[in-house]
Amino acid sequence: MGDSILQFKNVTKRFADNETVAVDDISFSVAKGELFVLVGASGSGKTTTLRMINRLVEPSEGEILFRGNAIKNADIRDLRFQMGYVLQSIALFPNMTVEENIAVIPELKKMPKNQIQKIVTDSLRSVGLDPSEYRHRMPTELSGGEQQRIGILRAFASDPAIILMDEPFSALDPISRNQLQSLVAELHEKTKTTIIFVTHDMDEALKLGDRIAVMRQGKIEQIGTGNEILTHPANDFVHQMFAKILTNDVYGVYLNRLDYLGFLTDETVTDESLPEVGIDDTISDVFKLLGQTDSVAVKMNNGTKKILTEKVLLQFMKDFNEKMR
Amino acid sequence: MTEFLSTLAAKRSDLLTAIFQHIEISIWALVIAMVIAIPLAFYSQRKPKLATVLSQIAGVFQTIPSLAVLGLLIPIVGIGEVPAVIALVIYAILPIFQNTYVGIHSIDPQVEEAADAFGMTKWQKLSRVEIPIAMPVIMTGIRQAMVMIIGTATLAALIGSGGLGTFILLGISRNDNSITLIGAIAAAVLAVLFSLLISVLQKVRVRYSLITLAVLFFGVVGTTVYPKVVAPAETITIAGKMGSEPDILINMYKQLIHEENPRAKVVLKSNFGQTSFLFNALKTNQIQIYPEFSGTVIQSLVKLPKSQINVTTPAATYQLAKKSISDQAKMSFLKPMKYNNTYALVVKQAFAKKYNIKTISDLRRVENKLHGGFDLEFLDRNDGFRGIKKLYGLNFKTQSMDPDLRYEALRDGKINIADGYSTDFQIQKYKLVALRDDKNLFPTYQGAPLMKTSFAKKNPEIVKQLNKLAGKITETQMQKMNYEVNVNKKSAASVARNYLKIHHLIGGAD
Repeated sequence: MGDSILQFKNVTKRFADNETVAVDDISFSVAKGELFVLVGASGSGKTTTLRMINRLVEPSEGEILFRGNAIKNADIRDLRFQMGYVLQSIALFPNMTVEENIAVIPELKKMPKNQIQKIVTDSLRSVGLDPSEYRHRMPTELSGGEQQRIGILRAFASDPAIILMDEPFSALDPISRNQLQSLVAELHEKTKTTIIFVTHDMDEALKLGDRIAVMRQGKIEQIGTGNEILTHPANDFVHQMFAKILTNDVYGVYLNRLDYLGFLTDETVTDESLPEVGIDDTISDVFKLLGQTDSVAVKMNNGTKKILTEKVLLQFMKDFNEKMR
Repeated sequence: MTEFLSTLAAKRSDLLTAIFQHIEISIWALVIAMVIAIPLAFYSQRKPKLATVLSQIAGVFQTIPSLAVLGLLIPIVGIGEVPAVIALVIYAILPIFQNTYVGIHSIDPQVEEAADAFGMTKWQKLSRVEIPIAMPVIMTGIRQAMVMIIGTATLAALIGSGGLGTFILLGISRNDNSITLIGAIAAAVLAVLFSLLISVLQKVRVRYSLITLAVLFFGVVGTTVYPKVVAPAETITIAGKMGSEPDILINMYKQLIHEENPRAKVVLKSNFGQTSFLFNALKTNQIQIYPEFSGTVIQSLVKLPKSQINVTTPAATYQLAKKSISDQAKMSFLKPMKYNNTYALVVKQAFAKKYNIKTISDLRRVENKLHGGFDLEFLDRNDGFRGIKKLYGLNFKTQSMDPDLRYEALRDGKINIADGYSTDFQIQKYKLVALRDDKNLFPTYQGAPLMKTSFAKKNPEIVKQLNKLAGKITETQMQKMNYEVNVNKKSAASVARNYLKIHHLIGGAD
């Protein structure tokens, strides 16, 4: 995964009253190019952790290193110019067009005009929005999903070293959320930009994270890949947290969860007649097809396909129901 | 309607001047209010307590009646445009401050955070994010302020700063609804137009609205400041009170001065305001000359013990006025004209002829036939109807009547005697006659130019020219001239010139 780009060393944040400890002595490092997810319930300190990275919040104790240098010594504008930021409420500038919103940071960085133009055109195209149609629209003329798409482009536009995303999809409808998760995964794949992603949604964490840090009450309970966390939870809390999420609705479980847990067989699909579903589809989508067939092909993000049989699926659902009790 | 249109046609150029003055005062006030209120609103953004206090102060300012503000400002900044603009600024601050504050305050905190997180400086955040987002709300405040300013600016005429209020005041003082209507309608139209302009600006981008405001401001300021800066210091400003009579007189003054020195720079400010404003303007050198009445000097401008005021003859009144104002205010009250513009009892000419009535004393013969319509103040004054009862031993049926209605009531025969002023044009218009005050009940109001003694000493030739009016102009002549201006819509300048030429006070071709 390369060198570490960001390091937290025994960082603690107490808020004004000095009683509440939002973040309690945490240490971790993020490798260059990694998509690092901070997951936890509200109040777990994940957003505060994120906001300390671009110094919207200053730590009370400890040190944060960015590219090996303490950020508290850095020029704050320089630092922020190297960090994209995607907010939960999207927060596009309502007075600016789509184009101007995407161009904000390149302009602040005083990039040449024609280059900014090109960035806007290319980035709109890359997310499937026709530049000639969208560039002059105002944010209010876009759907929530489209707005956050622009929010993401805005963060990527100046090609920052690291992008911070603070629960960017929690306010969106499930379809848009799914699409945008895929978009972030794609952009990350393509640009290899380091991303720190905050969410309270375990599914989202599993789907996106190269590594996941599970937070509770200002502390990190476990850091690891999705697989590691699911198969070897560090403690009961982590186990419960991920188990609990499974309980919500077995039909709403994403197929990528099954992939993590090894329920998808890796055999090359030869039977072209198998009905196909995406890795971002849910068990309920599979069920709609199972009347006609006893197995489906699951298309992975990288284009390969895996097989899910009815038998395996029923086994998973049985396990799932047992875990809940 | 036809009367309205003919008045409009006759007053065309005056109206344009007044509109321009009105816009000038309004824009000055608006811009100054913006310069004060907008930065304050931004500054108090993170200080909610300060914002509340400021908002309350601005609110209190707004509840002070505008007339009171104007009055309070006179001793501090004098009269004219300055106090008018200050008063208007005081009113305009609240809507602009509140709207700006709310406009910025309602910006989504996450948008602010985004601006911070993207590395914007404070200034960049202000100019690219905060101001543009708050702009529609700020503009709403500016629009409210502008409409209010244009409305309130009509009161500025009371302190001699011109504008459309002069039309309203003039109309009231001449009992001419057309003039009042012209002023009121023009002010309303102006308010609507500016409101529209600003709401258009609200929709275009910030850049264009700022440019438009700047062009308007510098356009107005440029055209008003430039002439003031380059105007020669020797300008003689002559002002007059409300109405046609002072207007005619100051035109005569100007023509007399030009007769002797054609190159003298004389500026006239007609309908400049009421007595105290003119007197203050004279004291502070904002004007150099204005026509004043001997009676007014004694009653209002100087302080005298009661015993001294009891003068009876016109000559004694004038002498007392001249001496006391010279002593107390270092002012020269030049020689008076002939006419006495005082209270008068008026009856129809036919009535006077029928009963052979020439003086007030003559009324005793027809006492039981009289039915008077008097202004409420006149009824109650010792130098009014009370005095008439006492001094002349008269008593007859009376009713109080609005000054505006007396002449019409007299014409229509609802009453047959009324009070008035001896030079009122209606005396001519309705074929009335003013009865001679043979026992000298009414105080004398003889007109003469008033100026600072220092000015009189420096300009003996002007004094000489103006003194040519001494003993000239009878009451009937003044009534006629007032009639020419008010009813026949002639300009005060032409009426003045006509008189001076007929009486050989000026010569030359027309």
